[in-house]
Amino acid sequence: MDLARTTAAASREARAGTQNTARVPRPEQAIDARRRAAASKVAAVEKAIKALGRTGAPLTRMVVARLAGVSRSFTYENDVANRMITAAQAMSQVRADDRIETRTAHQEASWRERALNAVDEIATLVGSLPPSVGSSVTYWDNCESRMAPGLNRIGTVFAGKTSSFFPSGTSFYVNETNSNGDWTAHGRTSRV
Amino acid sequence: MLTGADYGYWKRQEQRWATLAEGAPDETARDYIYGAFEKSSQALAGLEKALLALGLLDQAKELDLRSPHQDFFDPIWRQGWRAGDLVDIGSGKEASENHEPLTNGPGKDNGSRES
Repeated sequence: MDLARTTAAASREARAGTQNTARVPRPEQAIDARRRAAASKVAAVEKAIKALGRTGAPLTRMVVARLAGVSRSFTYENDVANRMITAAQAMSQVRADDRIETRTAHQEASWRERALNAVDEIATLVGSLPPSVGSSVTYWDNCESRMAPGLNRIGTVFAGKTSSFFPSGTSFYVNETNSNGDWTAHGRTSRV
Repeated sequence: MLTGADYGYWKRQEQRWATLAEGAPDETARDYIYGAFEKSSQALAGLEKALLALGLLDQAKELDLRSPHQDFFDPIWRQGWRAGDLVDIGSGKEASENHEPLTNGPGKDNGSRES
């Protein structure tokens, strides 16, 4: 009985002892130092991200961590640093996509404009030729070795050739030697 | 702006200044010469660190500027760093060494992370 009472008292004391150790003051100085260290690391990460962004170098966690002098696990475990890196990566990705799309659009617009300008130019030139000089050459219709058979249109432009080298009403032969073999056509110019 | 292609030139300049400083007649002159080149040294250290992080340092060391055949689209030539950024990168201590030593016991392992 005595033994049981003694054991119970001992266990009570032990519990009280545990509670006493819990009353030890928190290591405020250590906590502050740790917070400051984390803040300085986050600042270093921010600087590294900015520098990388200006450079145009690939923005990876490894590079950011090395530049900032922090461990790579820090860039995952610290919420602020993690969010900053993720946002910067997303931003650079968006910027890259944007660049590509914009460039493609510019190029397409440029080609479209040039094609339209060329069509207008052809129409203007054909219209501006005086009737005495302008004569259409008829051999173009026979020129199937260079185009798909039966096709005499390229895009939207009619592939009629206008030439001023031959006076109207002249017969001529065109000889051409190419990889498809020799090709000869007889033509006659006529008035437009 | 500094690129990886500038690394070799500025490294040689740094060595030149160091030689000059070590050959100075007295301590004052020596410190003055080192002080005059200090910013450049920091930027160069930053450039070295940045190139190392990007895996370009060896290429930058081996780059032959006298060769007429250069690929100017290579990252060594294309990626330019601001000198100010490089000074920050080069002069900054390792962030994990930035905290002062602690006096109380439990905080000794004021670890490298806080999340």
